[in-house]
Amino acid sequence: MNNKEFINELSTTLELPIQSVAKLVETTVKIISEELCDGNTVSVQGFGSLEVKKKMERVMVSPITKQRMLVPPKLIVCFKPSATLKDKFK
Amino acid sequence: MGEKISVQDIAEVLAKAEGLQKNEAQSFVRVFFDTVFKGLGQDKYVKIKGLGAFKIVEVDNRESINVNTGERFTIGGHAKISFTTDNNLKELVNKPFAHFETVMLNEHVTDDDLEMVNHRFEDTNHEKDVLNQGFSSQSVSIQNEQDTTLCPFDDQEHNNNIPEVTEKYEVLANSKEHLESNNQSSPEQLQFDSPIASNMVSDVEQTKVPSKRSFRNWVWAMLCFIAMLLGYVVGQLEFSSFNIRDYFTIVHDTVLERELVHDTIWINKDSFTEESKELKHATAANNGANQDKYADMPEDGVPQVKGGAYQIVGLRETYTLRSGETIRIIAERFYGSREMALYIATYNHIVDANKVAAGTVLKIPELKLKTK
Repeated sequence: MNNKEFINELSTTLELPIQSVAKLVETTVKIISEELCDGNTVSVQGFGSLEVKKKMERVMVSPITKQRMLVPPKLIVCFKPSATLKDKFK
Repeated sequence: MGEKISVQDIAEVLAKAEGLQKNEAQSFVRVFFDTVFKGLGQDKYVKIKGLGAFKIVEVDNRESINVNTGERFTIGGHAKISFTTDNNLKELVNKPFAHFETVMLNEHVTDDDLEMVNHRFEDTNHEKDVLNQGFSSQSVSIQNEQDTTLCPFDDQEHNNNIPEVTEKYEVLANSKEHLESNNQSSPEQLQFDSPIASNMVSDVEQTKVPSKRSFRNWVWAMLCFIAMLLGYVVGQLEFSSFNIRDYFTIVHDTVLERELVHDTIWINKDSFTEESKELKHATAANNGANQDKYADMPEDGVPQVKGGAYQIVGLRETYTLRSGETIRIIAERFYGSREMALYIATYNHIVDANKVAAGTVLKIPELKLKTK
């Protein structure tokens, strides 16, 4: 299901025009990403939580050149599915 | 930072931004995530622009080892939900660290060197604190003596103490010179030293002028006391990780470290050869010990359970199996767990623990918990 299909699906369930749903989706995503940028955890009951984690720097070996590289630390978004969501797909 | 945002919070902001009713916005966010769930059920894949893609990944069966007993068992295959962040969001979130870049490492840089660099960076900070502490405590000891000299009751002590104070000052000056010779490369520290040293001079001069300046001296004493307290607290915090033996090498290596900062990672091997040799010896010794401990087939020929938490150290006793008994039952009797049958089976070179004839003489091994 890609973005377009997702919006179509939403508009049929909500019985709203596609354009307004698309706009709402965009704003929701924007709100979520703003919260994540602030370092907050977005948790949705029954679905899971999106949070920002810090990865430490590490030494990596390039498989092609065998050159060792120091990869810098970074912040990443990770998704932790809730127990109910996990159970449903087991 | 670190706050937990729920559906309600998102709905509230959404309602404000889009001019919706609160409950409308809330139901929209709920339906949003329900649809993601539904899409996952349908296509096992949902992509949302600006956020990322959710995907269901099948995980195959895999074999694992029970860490307590060393028994092999399989972890069943299952579905896992993976989330891949949208590139835009990834960059947005990583903005604080965006200026870092992957660096190529030179051939001769080892992991030990990298750790050392990190360690030393921390230590340079400690160094100043320790210097601070050292000086302030010395100055306080001098100050205390001054306090006693200011006491008008015994002039004798007064006379005795002045040379002592000057002596202390000389010691201080010497130690300063010592530092200078050790550490010509860090000018901040010298600058840092000199005002304190000059304070010392003025303090010593003040002792010669009696009680008129006692108030000023008292203020000095208070200042020094506060400095000592600060130094003590910082020292307590930092000293635990600070090794006295490293101290002078650190002072020596400050220049080297500066270079290191510029070239990212380049360590003057010569200055560390001795240390690294020691390290190598230590690690070699450790490796030797580890090999003895964890080998599956040691030299004395005692078979060991691979990956097990216990080590077979010798024969405990022998046992003749009666009819109706299995190794698992024996294991429960001797070790309290049926899973420990693996150790008996391994020790007796039995392949199938469930098919052992009655009357078989079993050797029950003595087990020792491996310590890591």
